[in-house]
Amino acid sequence: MDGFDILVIEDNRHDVEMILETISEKDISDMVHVINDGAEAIDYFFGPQGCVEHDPDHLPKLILLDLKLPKVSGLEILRSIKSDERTRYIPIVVFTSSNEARDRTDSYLLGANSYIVKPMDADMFSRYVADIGSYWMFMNRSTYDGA
Amino acid sequence: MRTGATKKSGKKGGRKEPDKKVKNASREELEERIRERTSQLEMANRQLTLEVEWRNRTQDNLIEQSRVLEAFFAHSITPIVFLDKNFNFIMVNEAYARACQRHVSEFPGHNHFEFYPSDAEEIFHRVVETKTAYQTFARPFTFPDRPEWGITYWDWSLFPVLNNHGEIDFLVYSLNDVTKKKLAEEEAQRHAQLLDLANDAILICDLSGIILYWNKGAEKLYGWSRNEATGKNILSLLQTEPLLKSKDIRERFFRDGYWEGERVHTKKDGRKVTVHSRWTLQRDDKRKPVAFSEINRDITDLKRKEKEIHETALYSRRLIEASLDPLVTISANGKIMDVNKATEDATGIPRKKLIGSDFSDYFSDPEKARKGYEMVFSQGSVRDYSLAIRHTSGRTMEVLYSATTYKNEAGEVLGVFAAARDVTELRTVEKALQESHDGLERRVEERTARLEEINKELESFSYSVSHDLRAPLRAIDGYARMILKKQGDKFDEDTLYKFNVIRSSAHMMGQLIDDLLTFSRLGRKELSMSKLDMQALINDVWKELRIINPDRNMFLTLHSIPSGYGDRSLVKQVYSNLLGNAVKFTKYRDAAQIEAGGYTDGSEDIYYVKDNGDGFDMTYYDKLFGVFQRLHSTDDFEGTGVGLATVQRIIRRHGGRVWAEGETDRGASFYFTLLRKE
Repeated sequence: MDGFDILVIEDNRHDVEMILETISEKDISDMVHVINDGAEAIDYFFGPQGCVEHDPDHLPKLILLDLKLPKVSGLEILRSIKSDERTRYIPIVVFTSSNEARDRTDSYLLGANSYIVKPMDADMFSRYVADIGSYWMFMNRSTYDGA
Repeated sequence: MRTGATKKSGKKGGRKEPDKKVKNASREELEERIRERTSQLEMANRQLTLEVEWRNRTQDNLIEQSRVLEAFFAHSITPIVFLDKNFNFIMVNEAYARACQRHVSEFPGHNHFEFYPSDAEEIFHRVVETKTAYQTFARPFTFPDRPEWGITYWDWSLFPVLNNHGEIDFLVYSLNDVTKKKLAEEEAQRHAQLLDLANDAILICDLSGIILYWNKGAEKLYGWSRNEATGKNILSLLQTEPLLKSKDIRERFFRDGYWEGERVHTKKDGRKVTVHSRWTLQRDDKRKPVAFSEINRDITDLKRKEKEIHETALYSRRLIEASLDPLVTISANGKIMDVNKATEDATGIPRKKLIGSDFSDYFSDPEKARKGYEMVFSQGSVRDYSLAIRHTSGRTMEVLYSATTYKNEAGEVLGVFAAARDVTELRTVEKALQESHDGLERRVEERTARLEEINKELESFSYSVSHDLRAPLRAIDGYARMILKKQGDKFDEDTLYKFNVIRSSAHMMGQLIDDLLTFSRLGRKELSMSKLDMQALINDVWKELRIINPDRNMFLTLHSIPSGYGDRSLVKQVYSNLLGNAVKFTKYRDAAQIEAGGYTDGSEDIYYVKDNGDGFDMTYYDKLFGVFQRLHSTDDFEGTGVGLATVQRIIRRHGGRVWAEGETDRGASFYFTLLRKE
């Protein structure tokens, strides 16, 4: 299984399209994987065929996580990934339309690396996605990066 | 003798003849004369005989008489004295000598007044002069030779005895010593006077009830005078029942000689009088009952007072008995001394058994009951002491005891007077009330839970709104943007304009949603109160506004302002809105002049923000703070109509007020207050 640079966990098809549009437009990565279901996201990592077991060398370099997801919520996914030794170092940027204080607090508490509220304005939305991508993919150094 | 004569006269009539009339007449006459003479002589003879007999008899009589007189004189207990007309003693009898404590032989040859000089001498002389007897009673006399006898009293008489010539032959002087009688009388009189002094009615009756004595007290009490009463029957006079009617009493009275008790008598005026009567039986020397005396005291007033006291006591008692509260008096050692009916009812035990038993025995918690009355003894009183009285049936009565000690006149504590108030019903009501209260509380809880649920629903609704409504808006804007980006250069002006309308409408709606969310969150946000540096707060907001509006020519004048007390983020939001509005509504001014400041007024601080903007028409003031209410068109001034509603909501949650003053084209002033905290 090939690894992906960016894993987008997002159920809103339009948001996904806008995110992918920007990523490709800004040439951030061509290895983007999209999961639009919470349960699927858990399976992706910890399922029988999950990458944690089968392809631990190809974990995503960045997870863009929506909170409001079918079946399993974004916070559950956050908790699972951040409470597992093998996945906890993956940077997770919560990218949500919720500006609820509780969501923010919970997210940080569970180990979110960043919390970005999806802007209403499409220009700003695009810019945010571009900024997030360039920051985490190019500027930030993770534990998985080579020496 | 006369009968004989009559017989002779009858014989004579039979011998009468007509021719010998004259001769016969003289003869008859003679005979008659002889007969008369004979009769006279016989008579004289007889008289002489009688005379002789009489004389003989008289002589005997004289001798006899003299002997009798002598004996009488000698042995009479009455002192008798013979005096000559000069009052010299001729002879005195034994009784006289004895009375004078002398011997009879000492007197003859002496003058009476030589021995016994007194003012009586004058009387003696008068008797002699007038030859008239004199009699006197209880005349006082003092023996000159016996001064120790004191005054003696004598009834005496002096009787002159005259001779054939009418001259005084001698004087008979007889006396009777009445000293004892006189003294007894005086004593009796003194007694009577004393008896009269007594207020009690004192009366003496003989055994048949005839009143013999009646004192002043009796006159006063009954109204009958002594003269009216004496001699009357007491029963009829006083219209009273005979006491001795009862055999028992009669026997006892004659045995003991004494009785006392109450009697009802009737006065002269007909009114009844109750007396306390004491009777004493009077006996003669031989202990034979002769009379009884009564001492009667008017106790009508006393009886009335007694009756009043009794009635008062009865009234009090009835009051106590009528009380629905169990009442009880307790002695110092905790024994019941008195109870009322309610106590009997509460315990189910008759008062005879209750009295004398332990007070604490009748309670569910005897120890607490004991402590209760001990507390009264130590503190003087206790109020609303909660206990439960046990009834023999097993049920209990919840009571509140109020008790005080009661004292005698000397101030010594005699016991405790305790009154219980049955609060079973009260407790029931309380319980019902509690239940109702609990019910209400439950309902409140239910309501609260329901509200919380609704709140949660609202919250999740808000959440949905923030996510689900925003997502399509973002899509609208995002896709419009993508189209413009990729094909925008192919569009004509009009199409470009319309695409921009789509995008700005989406923005507008996003803003609306955000504002609405903020506004709705205000209602449930917990206030985090602290002291606020209002000046710093305003400066922060102003800086942000300057950043957002870099091209505006605007000035803020900050006047003196008191520090505030409130939720920092919310009060900051108030200033964001007010100053933001001020900036917004001055955008057509060359220079925006904005002022902020505040002052203290009593218990609140008043803050204001003023601008020189477009102001508003006070006619529509009531719409100023309404949600989604706007006084300006969106074309002139962008906005969602939530800002001032949010301000009002925040200030109200702080307990403050918000108001505004404005005039079209002449600026607006917004005021809000915060409660001061020292």
